[in-house]
Amino acid sequence: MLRSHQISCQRGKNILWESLDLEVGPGELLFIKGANGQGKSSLLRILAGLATPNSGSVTWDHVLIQKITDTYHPNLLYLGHTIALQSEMSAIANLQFLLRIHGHNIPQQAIHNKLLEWGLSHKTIQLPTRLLSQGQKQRVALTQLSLSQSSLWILDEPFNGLDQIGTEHLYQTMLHHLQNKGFLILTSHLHQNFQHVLANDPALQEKIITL
Amino acid sequence: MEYKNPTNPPIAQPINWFAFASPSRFYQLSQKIILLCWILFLITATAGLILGLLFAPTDAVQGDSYRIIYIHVPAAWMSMILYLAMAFWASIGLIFNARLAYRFAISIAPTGALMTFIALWTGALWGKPTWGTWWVWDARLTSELILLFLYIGYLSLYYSIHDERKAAKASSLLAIVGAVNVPIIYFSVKWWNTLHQGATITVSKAPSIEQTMLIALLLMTAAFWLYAFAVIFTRVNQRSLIDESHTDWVQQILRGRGQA
Amino acid sequence: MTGQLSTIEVMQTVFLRDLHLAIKQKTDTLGAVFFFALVASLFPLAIGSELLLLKQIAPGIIWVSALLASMLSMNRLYTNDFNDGTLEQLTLSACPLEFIVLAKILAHWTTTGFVLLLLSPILAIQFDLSPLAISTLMLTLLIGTPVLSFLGSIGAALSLGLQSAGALISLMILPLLIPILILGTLAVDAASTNMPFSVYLYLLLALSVLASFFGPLASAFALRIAQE
Repeated sequence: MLRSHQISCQRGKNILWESLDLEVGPGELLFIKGANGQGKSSLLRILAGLATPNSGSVTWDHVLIQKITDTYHPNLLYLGHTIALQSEMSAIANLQFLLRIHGHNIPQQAIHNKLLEWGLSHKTIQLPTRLLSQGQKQRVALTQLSLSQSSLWILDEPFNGLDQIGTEHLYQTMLHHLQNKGFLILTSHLHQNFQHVLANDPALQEKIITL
Repeated sequence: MEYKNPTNPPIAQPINWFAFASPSRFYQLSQKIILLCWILFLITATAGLILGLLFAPTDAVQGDSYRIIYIHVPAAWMSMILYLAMAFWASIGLIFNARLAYRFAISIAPTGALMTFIALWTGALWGKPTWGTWWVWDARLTSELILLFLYIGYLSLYYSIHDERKAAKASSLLAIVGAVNVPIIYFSVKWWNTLHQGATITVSKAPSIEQTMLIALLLMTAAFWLYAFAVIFTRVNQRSLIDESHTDWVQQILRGRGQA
Repeated sequence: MTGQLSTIEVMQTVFLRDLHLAIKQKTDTLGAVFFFALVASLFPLAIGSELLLLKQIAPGIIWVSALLASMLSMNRLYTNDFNDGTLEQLTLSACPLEFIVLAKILAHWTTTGFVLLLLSPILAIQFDLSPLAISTLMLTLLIGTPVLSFLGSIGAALSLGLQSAGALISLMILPLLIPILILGTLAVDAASTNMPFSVYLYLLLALSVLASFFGPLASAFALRIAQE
């Protein structure tokens, strides 16, 4: 259960938003909406613990996230605006690295299979990622979702660059995660809500915050 | 479904025990103090200089040129004390996330650098008539030079970062790292000096202290302290007015001055 | 399906990746090494080829060149990861950032400080240093260059993403490296004149241990500040 208590965000002299209380738990999808520049990415970074809020605090199971990084980090998968892929390394090498630093020892074959599931060809995943298109890079990054053990996903604009099939696959991955007691927080400038993702499952809930 | 606030109470913020932790309170309290500091500075500086330049006896060995110590020694002391003070406030700022503490640290830096600069220049002015050269690489002067570089490094980092909070935090860490290194640097420079040069007398060795000289020196030290307080407090308040120009208390003050 | 990795295994992953990337991006890595040799060669050109004089100032020249070359190479420690988003992932890793930083610094030293150390005897011969002096020099570089990396890392972390990061790192960190410079050169000078020099080496070792502890700690702290 992730909670924020009266957090505020300041950029330069402007206060973007303040006194924000929110709560996300298993089976819940928290959708952050707002125009560009309203501080959606900043909110996600604060919730992930990458940035500190101007005031207020964020807690995981009632403990400040700064104090329990050893339990919070393994439970968190954060995909930021910049896709964390090293341009000279191949997709599969990149994923292996990212999964390992999050503590997961996943065999290469499993990673390979998931990449294929996300619509990337066998040849593509061996190339240095600088040769991949934006959409392909996005898919590589999103493959982490299928391989992760983390309960909380924080995703910044995950739908960027995806085509119809990719989008559909992402919906399915999100649904699967929520049904397995996972929870997720995301931003997207393309959607109004995610009711259709939740597939009318009464155990799942969507919450919306507009900044 | 639109989100509603939960009924759980928020986590309590740590309490600030420092009465002046609020920039507005500090502003109010310091106005009189700054004025007092300037007045006392004028008194002590005048007294110290008159005593030191006119009444203290001429030194047997160095003649009248030694009198530069009335500026050199207090400046050198202040340069070191101010660096430690800067590191202290930097630590407070990082531990308690207190804006005012950060402001103190960055306000101390220019004055500290100035003191170091004065100490180096007066050291050179002392050296020329006494030892014939404008500079000697003795332990004290070399350490002062390194201290100047530490101040410059701190200021460079602070002014390179555009975001004010980030700049304050980053430079505070540097100040603390520097402060921890200062004793190590000082002792290694001292060692370096004794091993490379056989010289037993250094530029910074003061002539044997006589009563009048001591009083003059103490007065000048007090004067430098008071100057530092006055200038630093003023700078802190200026920063508060600029950084918090959007708040009510600043608007009130500016209106009072006719500047809002 | 999955096993959990220990801290050491994660550090190993980071170390090997950084090493692999450094070897791949040769220009960055070798640049510092060539700079080292170049700067050292500038001094005889500036001062004169009289070997007796050069022999005296050689330890200083080689050490200063090592300092400058190290500082020049520090910028790449975190910049690439910062730019491509990997640094965020490293910060959110299950392994504490301090250990990851330690692994990165060690990988960096292996491709910088360690290579300078290997090149130093060649430069030392150009200055006509005695075999004892050369071996002492190498020993001081072995103990001292990690400190350059540990403290340089703090500079790199503090100036992350800034325009003039290279110059800023040198400005901030070079004063802090003066004790290492002094101890390193005093040791070689003592060795050259057949005086006891082990005390300098012990002190260098002590400073190295301190730096290996505080360097990663301060660097991780600075990295978190830089990513806010």
